[in-house]
Amino acid sequence: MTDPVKVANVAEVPPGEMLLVDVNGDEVALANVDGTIYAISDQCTHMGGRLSQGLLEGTVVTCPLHAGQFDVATGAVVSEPPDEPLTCYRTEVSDGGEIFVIAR
Amino acid sequence: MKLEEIDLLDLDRFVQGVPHDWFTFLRANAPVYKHPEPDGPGFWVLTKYHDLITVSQDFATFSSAHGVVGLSNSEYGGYQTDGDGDEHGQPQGVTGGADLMMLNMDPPRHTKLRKLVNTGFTMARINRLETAVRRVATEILDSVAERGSCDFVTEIAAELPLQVIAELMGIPQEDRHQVFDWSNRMIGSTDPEFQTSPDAPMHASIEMFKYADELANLRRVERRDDLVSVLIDAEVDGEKLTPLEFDVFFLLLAVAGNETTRNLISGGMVTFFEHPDQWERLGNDRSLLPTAVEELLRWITPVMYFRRATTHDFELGGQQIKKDDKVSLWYIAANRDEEAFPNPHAFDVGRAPNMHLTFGAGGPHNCLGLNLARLEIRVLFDELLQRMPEIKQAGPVQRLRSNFINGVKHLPVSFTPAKVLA
Repeated sequence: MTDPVKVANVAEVPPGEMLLVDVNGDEVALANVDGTIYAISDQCTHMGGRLSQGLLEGTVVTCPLHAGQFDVATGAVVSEPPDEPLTCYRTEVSDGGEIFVIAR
Repeated sequence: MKLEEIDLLDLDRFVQGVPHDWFTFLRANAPVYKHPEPDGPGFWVLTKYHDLITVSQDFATFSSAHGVVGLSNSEYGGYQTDGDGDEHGQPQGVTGGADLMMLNMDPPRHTKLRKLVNTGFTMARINRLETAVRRVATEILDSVAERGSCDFVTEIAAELPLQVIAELMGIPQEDRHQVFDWSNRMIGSTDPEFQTSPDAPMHASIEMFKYADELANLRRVERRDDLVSVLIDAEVDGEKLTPLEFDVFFLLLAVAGNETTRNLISGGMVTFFEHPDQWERLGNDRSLLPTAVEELLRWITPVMYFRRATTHDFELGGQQIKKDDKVSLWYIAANRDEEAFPNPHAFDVGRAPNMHLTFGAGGPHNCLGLNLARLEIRVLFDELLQRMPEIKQAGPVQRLRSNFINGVKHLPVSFTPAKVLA
């Protein structure tokens, strides 16, 4: 377990939006689902599409490359073609709205 | 066919059309092929779908940091880097600043630049542009409708991406065609129509840099909701972009946002002229537009290859690739890989699934503008099918002399003239 890494402010990722950040060199996508911030690996496990450029609807993100879907809260595959789940990261949001990601 | 007949440096061959017979031969007989090069060490040519994925995702082995365009040492691939960019970030002739471009970078530096602009191109943001893109497309078709004929490339296909990317970047209307002209001169640097002198690409990039600086100065006085304003304020590791870093970012967005989609749309129109049954099928059922867009992307593959350089020895397909070798990834060939696509040489607007590699084969460099490109292509063909369903080819296709961009320079078309209601 390493120290939390400050990656962004909640103002940068409004509800329903996603944001690419880097966490000690890992490409991580933040997702704001009705005010809750989730963090997942940015690359789709199918062919590396950038999920931060995909479409977030509820907790489901659709990959822009081949429309594979994942649940951003659990990393689970919702729809093929991917068959491997995503890496998820723990997040914390400070009172000032700073988003921290716990690096793995 | 013999392997020795294949010469991917023969640009005149590409003027006749993409040499798919060569690529089919390579996939079958030499999928990892060391292509000879006059006055140089040669370069690897990869044509198989799964090899492209392997290489694209392994960015630690296959680095972009020595440039991604240009196959031979002597070839003038346009705006490229030779890998020894000035450490002070000063221009060095034609390669000036190329090593500062995110296209020519590996993570983690690439990630830091990519995330500056990533947010502007998310699917949610781009989907909100549909009304605006449709308005621009309508205006473009209005501008030619009454004449009944035009050059499809310069008057239709080029206009939409130009207007849209310029709008996103914040380039004023009166300057847009100048930016377009510079972008032509850089990307078309191997075609005599655009390369008016050996120095033309360099002059064009210098002119574009000067212009970018002027626009940046305007935005420093007054910010707007555009990418230039975003880049002015952007910080990487707590530091603002240097003027040269800003300039190359501007250039990358302008060129990548223009040339690729333009050539997809032009090439798409040519493809429909060659497959009138598919045009009619799509016209009868426009719900096929999303799969038609993906099939056009697979079929045309506007960026035919990008290059990597190996950071250590690597075995691929039984071949020994040495450290510092040049490795070219032929997306246009992999998109017709018999092992990845059933009946790959059939153009089918209903093809599904269609996991083409036109936006990249995974890894950090997947196309930033993919959502925007899809939107522009879908909207333009949607409008064409409704307003000019009987559009016809009215003269010969003139193709770009390039082994990098699958491009069409001119395509005369005719259609039924229509009054435009003011």
